Amino acid sequence: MYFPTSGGFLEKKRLSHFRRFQLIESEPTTPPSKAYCLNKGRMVCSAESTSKRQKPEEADRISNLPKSLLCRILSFLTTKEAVVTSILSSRWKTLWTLVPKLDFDYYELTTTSSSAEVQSHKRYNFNFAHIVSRVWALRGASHVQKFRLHWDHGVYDPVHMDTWVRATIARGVEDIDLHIDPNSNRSFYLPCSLFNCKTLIALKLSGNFEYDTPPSSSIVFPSLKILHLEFNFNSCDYLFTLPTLCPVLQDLSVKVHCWYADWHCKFISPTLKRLHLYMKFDELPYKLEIKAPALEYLNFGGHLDSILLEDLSNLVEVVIDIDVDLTKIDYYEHYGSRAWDFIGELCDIKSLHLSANTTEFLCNASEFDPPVFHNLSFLKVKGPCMLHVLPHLLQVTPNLAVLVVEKEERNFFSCEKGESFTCDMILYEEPLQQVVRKCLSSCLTTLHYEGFEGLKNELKLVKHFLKRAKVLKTMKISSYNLNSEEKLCVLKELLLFPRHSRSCQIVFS
Amino acid sequence: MALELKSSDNKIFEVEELVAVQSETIKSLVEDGCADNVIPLPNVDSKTLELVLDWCKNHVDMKLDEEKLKEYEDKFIEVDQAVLYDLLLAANYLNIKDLLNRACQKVADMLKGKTPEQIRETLNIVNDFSPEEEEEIRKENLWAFEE
Repeated sequence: MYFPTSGGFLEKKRLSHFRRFQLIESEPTTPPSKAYCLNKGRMVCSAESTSKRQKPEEADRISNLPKSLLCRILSFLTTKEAVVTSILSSRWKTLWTLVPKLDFDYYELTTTSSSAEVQSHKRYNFNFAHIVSRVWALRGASHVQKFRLHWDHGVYDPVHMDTWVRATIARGVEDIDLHIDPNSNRSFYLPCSLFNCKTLIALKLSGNFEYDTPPSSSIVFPSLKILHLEFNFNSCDYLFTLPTLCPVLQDLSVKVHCWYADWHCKFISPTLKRLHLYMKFDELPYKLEIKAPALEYLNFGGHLDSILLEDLSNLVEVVIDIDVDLTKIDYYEHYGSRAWDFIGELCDIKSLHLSANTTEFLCNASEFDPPVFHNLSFLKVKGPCMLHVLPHLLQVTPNLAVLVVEKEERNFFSCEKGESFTCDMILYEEPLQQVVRKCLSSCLTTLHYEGFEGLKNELKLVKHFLKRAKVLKTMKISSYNLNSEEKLCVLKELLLFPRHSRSCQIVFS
Repeated sequence: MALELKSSDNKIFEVEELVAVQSETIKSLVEDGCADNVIPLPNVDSKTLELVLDWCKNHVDMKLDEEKLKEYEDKFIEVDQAVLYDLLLAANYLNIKDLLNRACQKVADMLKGKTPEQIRETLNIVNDFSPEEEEEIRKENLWAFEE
């Protein structure tokens, strides 16, 4: 990121040799501020501070910070908040124009009070487009590094949008985040210059977008590493080809809401490391092929259908949140089996997170036969069904080191299996017990139990883990519903349980 | 490998290279082979340097535990204004990106959701505008000053 040093001038700071380091700053029009020079390793001040009227301990230190630092601070604010600082003092008057970030949010800019006093000051009524245009006009030609525009209400005007996006591209933008109302009947046509933009590193688009497919010979998105797309079926066909066009893409997020059945798509990316997919397909069939040999992280949510994953040799962490309308699924048990099959394809990973919905499907599956997850060292299981699914998972995770279980409160709970079902399975059923015992005794180092309620079967489970886990270092238990008296009671009981591991610490929060 | 850093008040700190190179400034010195002797840091006093080095050390130790690191960072940055500005300047001087951003974020949070009068009060900024000048600035960006 480039930060301005004086009067809109850009200067990249280089610190190659310590002794040649200089942080110089001068402002001809405002009162003189301190200039710092490093001369043979000693700091020399050449000007007095201007706040003579204040006592030293109440000095205005912030205004004396270098301009580049003040701009960096302002870049953590929205544009409106930054503009407000222009009235603080003369030092701050033009700082906001130098901030390389523009952040416009429709709701933030248009929620104003209509008090009589305010009305009397207003000669004109400013709408969203007016405000954005005005900021553009007043900030001059200074560099834009990040542009965020959320226009998800009001009268959306694609012409303005087009102007502003082109303006940011012309100013070397690196990060664009656009969100337009998905229900608007006017879509936004992405300009060609966006595809050829050499400086663009991150692009987030949400809403109705369209584009003309660039010619296959041209180099498209040459620097784009991060791409997040969220869209509806209108632009569905188009936009799924976008990620494939990016030669250096590393982080892709696609959230799609589609009403077409039998939709087929193929992603290929040799550089992709992170993939987040959310498929809201109204439970219609689809087929997705993903070839991303460098993929390290996969987060899947929504409706699970046919997903073909080629070459997962680098995949380390997977998060699964199956989210479907239960009234629309024909075979509930088959869906559960499909979920197990999907997880089974990921058997070389090191870390797995299963949401409450996912565990519910796994629990109700009619048939499943998961392979062994030799490398899995971290497992997080959520939901009321997590205790039902846990023994099956523990059976195939011989090298599990960290186990996190989170019991979520859920309103819709379709599982008939009782609360005590799984504990008994872990504790007493023979073949299961052997494998689980081996894993617990040699590998498990950490156990987190979130949503602990001090119920009998929970205490039984925790007691069992404490007894068996030889190398357990930390057991962290957190509860949401217990008051401090109840917590103390439970804690006392927990501390009395025999621990196989001498170095085990119990943390209760 | 250990490096020696000297603060502005002549206190020497011995740190592991892995911790010290979180500072891009120090990292370039090491890479250029200028870090054999004590490295003087005349812009950073010992109190601030100690805090900075604590930040760097914890970022090496807790690198893999995101949750724990975030907890540490949130606690670390709860300091009073004077210390915060010292940290900010030190992080800028030593070029420690994550500390710089965190400190800037903290200062920005002090500006958020406040009227100009409240900001001036919190940060001890003196209003050196005449009433006419102030009115003109308010008019220039009226949309931002309506509450």
